[in-house]
Parts: sequence; structure tokens; C-alpha cells
Amino acid sequence: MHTVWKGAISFGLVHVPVKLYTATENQDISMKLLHRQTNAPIRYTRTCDGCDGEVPWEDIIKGYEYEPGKFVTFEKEELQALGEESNKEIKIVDFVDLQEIDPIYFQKTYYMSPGDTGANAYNLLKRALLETGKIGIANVTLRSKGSLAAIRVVDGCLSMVTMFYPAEIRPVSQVPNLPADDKVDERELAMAKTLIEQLSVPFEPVKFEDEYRKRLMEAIEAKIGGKQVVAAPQAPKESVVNLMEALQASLELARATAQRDKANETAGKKATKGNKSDKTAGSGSAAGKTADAEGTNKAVKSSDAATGRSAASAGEAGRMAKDAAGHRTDGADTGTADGVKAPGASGRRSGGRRKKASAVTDGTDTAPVGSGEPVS
Amino acid sequence: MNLKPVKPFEPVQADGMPTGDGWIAQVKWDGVRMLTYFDGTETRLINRRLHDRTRQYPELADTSVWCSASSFVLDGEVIALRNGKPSFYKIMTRDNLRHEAAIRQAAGREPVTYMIFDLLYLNGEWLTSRPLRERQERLAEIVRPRGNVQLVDNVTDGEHLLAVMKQFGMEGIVCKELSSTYVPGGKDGRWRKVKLMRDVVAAVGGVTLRNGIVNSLLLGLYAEDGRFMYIGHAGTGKLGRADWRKLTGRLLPLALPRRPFANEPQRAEGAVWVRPEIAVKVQFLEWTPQGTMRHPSIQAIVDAPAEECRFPD
Repeated sequence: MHTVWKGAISFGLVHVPVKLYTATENQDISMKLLHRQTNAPIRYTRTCDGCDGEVPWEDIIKGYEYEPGKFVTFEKEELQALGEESNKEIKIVDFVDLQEIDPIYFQKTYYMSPGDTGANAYNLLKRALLETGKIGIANVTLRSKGSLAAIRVVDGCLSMVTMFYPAEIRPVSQVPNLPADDKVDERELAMAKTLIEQLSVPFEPVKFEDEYRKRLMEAIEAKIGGKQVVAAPQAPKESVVNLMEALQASLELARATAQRDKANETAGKKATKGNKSDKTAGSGSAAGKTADAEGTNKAVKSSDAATGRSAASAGEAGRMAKDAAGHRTDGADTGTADGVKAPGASGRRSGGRRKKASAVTDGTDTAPVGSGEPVS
Repeated sequence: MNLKPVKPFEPVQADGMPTGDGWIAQVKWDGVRMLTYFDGTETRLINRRLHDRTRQYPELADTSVWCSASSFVLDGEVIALRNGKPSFYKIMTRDNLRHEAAIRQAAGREPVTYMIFDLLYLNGEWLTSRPLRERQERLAEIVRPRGNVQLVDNVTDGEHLLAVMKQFGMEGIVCKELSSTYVPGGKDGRWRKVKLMRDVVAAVGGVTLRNGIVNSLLLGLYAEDGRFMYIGHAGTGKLGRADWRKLTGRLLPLALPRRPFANEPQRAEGAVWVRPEIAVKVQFLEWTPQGTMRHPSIQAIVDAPAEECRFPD
């Protein structure tokens, strides 16, 4: 939940730092306005009646029209300054019983959590409200609008319900054609009361849902379903398996390359130029095996799964290893043609025969690249 | 649910690779840390802030398909792929969806992937005091990887893995000691993350505008003493036009007459100051000697309280 407001509740000398979160959410299905011809969204621009140009946000201020065409203007800071005083405080002025407030006053509910270091005071106020059965009436300013508010406990959570000021509530006397209060047929009244009693149940909100919303949602889903049929075939869904195999292939290539470099070093000392490339290729594939043998139990298990997934994936891993090999030679690597081929080949081998290779824990005379544990 | 949610164990930031036996390295999958709880009857996904995210990821709710245990708590990362690679921007976009219909559509069209790397509870017993080695063995016994649910592989040669991460443009690696126990809510050097790029969650303290739309953010972090410090400007990054328009709508109502930063930002002309309330994740190369970010790039708008935007240790 987003914090929508931070401040403190105060009553008497008690000060409770709190954060506010909206407690209710509008589940209306929002639709965008589109241009019928293009299906592209309509964008709003703010234009000026005085110069007909588009006006950027930083040039917009607010004005009160005190008579047609005449304004007194306010900068944002001026309006903020007016709200500032009460801005950070929910000041409880009275405590009353909930039943005393007609529901017509209630606007919007916010949950409250304790602000920094406010947990004790928060619990204190909560307990006090619960044990007295009272709710607090406070003045609050949210988003530069003042309102009355009730502080109460909902489901163990301190909450604030904003309320209308009495002046904002229209008197019933303005409703046209209200009948006079007398004159009902006693028998009809008795029947109506019986009916009410028969239909009386405990309030179970979960059994109600927005029927219009449900129908609209079904209509949307039906349209989307239909659209998918006519739409061009989608690109294959992205799968992490491809990435994991490509990573594995590159890792084996990195090991093989390191191994080859090491072997080259030794070969440079021991061997003649003629058989150097043979040795390189040989140690490349050996390193592939070694690398597989290095994994722990778990790595081996998932490699099993990898080979089991599809025969094609082995070729895929090989291809990626080859790509990677190409990529490497683009860099500083001065590998010979043989050197490029060897890791590519070892990559393909490891893709196709990973399971088998993983069973081989020795059989190479070179030390593993990493200080791996053998497969148990 | 009959299981009490715990905060995950966090790795410390490290520059070098730990040496010695008994360490393994894993890919650091860039996404949203998520623990999955199954108490035998219901599945709950709970993030590191202990917020219930079950509704957010319906495609991960039916654990019986891939996990055979009668009760368990798993730890892993929920990721979303874009062009074959994990995209933090994309998972945040998904994580921020509000409406049920939108979530259901997204789950069906582009399901997220759960990369699992730890097992904290199994068949009625907490395993947090057991070594990682044992937790991993038992994890592999109960999870059958499939499509969008995978186990994170162990690798013994972290240097090579880090090189591969660089080659693929991925975030980095996490090195873990195989003997390490799991400390809920803890953070210590038995798990170490080695990242190729740095990142930080910073609060927006100012904006610059072009044609009335925000086009760069002045970012800040809270210092130990509570002062809000400017750490740099950041432009486009991963955000698209629609994101900027949305940001404009959220940021402009927070406008302030004075700058919220304790220090003087570079290039402050034309900036509109805003109350630090909105947080973004920024990736950058390194800190400059002036304490600002070099090459910052915005990854996503994140749902984090601004007061938690503090300097990393």
C-alpha cells in the first residue's frame, strides 16, 4: 500500500505519529478514449484561451473567478501555506458514540499504521477507543482540502473516515414532493413489517458483487479471446530455459577457454609447434567434462532435467555456445581457427551428453578449473 | 495460513570473490525476492516487506504441479524476461498492476518465472538452522523444475560465472557458503553479492521538464543524520513515454518552493523541486568523488517509502 499522508494524531497531550493508506479501492473498469479511425488513445493538451498555445505545467497557476472573466490568482506555494498549519496534524476535539453519527456524513476510509517510533502511542489510542467504545472526531487537511474526520478501529487497525461538514449536506427540506408523514394503512404497515422481519439476516457483504462489472468483464474477455484468433501469430513466449542453457554453454566455454590457455602455457614449454593445436582441442573437450563433474548434486539434477526437456535444446545450447565462441574471438582473444572450433564442439557435446559426462568424475589429467566438489 | 512469514536472509555487497572451499556461486536473478509458503492447504506468496503478493502472481499459485512436499517455505526471485533476459523494469511493471483483470491477462499472456534457491521449511519442520548444502539437497528432492519454475544452479567457479554475467549483460552473482544457516531478517557475509553494476533506490527531490513533461529526475538519499543529499540527475533509462507522463502527474502535485536537498545539486537551473515521496531504482557505474552517481540509469519506479532511501553501507 502507498502511504498517502504522514502526520500525527493529537489528543490532549498524547501525540500519535501515523501514516495513512486508502482503505477502499475503486474497482470500476476504466476505459480509454480512442479515435475511432485509428484506435489510438486520445491525448489531452492544455491550451490557453488568451494565446491559443499549448501551456506547459510549469506555467500553470490557479485562479478564483470572483466575477465572470475576473480572477484572483494563487501560486501553489500560497495555497500550501494556507493548509500548512493543520497539514500534519489530526487533532481530535471530541469523542462520541458511533451510533450518534448518521452514515450520510461518511466519505472515505483510510487505514493508519504507526509512524516512526509511534507503536506504543498507537496501541494506547487503539485500546482506549476499543475499551470505551468511542470514536474520535477530528479536523484534518488532506491534499489541501479540510474535512471532518472520525477516528475509529476497524478490524484491529486504527482508521480514519473523512466526513462531510454539516454545511456540505443538503437539508432534506429541499427534496421536492415529500409526502406528509401521516396516513398509512395499519394493515399494510403490519404486512410490510412482517415482510421485513422475514427478510432480516445478518449483514454478509461477501454475497454481493457488482453485476454490471462482471458482465462488462466477461464482454471484455470475450472480445480479447476473439481478437487473439484473428491476430498474427505471437512470437514464442520467452522461456528462462533457453537463457539457462545459453548461460550453461557459455560457462562451459569460459572454463574450456581457461583450461586451453593453461594447456597452451604448458604445451608451449613441453611440445613442439606441430602438435600444439591437437592438444588444445583435446584439452578443450576434456575441460567440458571436468566442468560438468564439478557441479554439486543439485546442478547435476537440473542438468538431467535439461537433457530430458527436449532433444532440440541440446542443439540450441550448441548453437549458442558457437555464437558465444564467435563473440569471444571478436574480442582480444587471439585463438586460432582450431581454438575457436574446439570450445564450440565441447559446448555441443555438453548439451547432448551432459548426463553421461556428469557421471565421469575423473579421467582427465588436468586439474579442475574451479575447486569443485566431485559428484557424490 | 498457519506459517508465520519471515523476512529473507540478505547477502552483503562484496567487491571480490570469496576464496576457499565450501563456497558456491549462483546467478543473481534480477527480480522481486519472494517467499512461497504452503501450509498444507493454502499457498501464499510474501515479499521481503512481508506484504502478501499472492493475488499478484496467480500463475505461481498452484504449487502442487511442481512441488511434492506436504508443507514448505521456499525462497527465490520472481523474474520477468524481456528479449530473453531478466528485466527489472518489466517485473516492476507487473508487480505494480492493481486490477485483477489486468493481472489475470498478464499472467496468461506473459507468466513470470520463479527462480528458487532455498528451502526454509519442509513437512512441518523449519530447516533454517541446517546448512545450505542440506537445504539445497532437500530442495532438489521436492521441486520438479518446469517452464516458469526453476531451481537456481550452483557453480563452483564464481569468476567464470561472473564473466558470463558480464557477457550477457546480467546483474551479477551471489556467493554462498555451503555451511551457512539461514537467518530470517539477517544479513551477513556468508552470502555475498558481487554485482557488475551498482544500484540504489533513491527518492525524487526535483525534476526538469520539457514541453510540460518530466524528462529528468534529481535524486537523493537520506544520510545517517537525516539530511536529504543530492546524488545525481538521471534521464530516460528504462522508462518509456507513458511512464514519464505518469510520473509527471504524480510528481507535480508534490512541488515545493525550496529545494529539499541539503547540498547544492549540479545543474539546478530550471529544476522544479518536489517533496521526496516517490522512489526509483537507479543503476550506475560507480560513485564519483563528489558523492554522485556516474552513468545513472533509471530501472523502474518502485513502491518504497522515501524515508527508506538511505545510503548503502
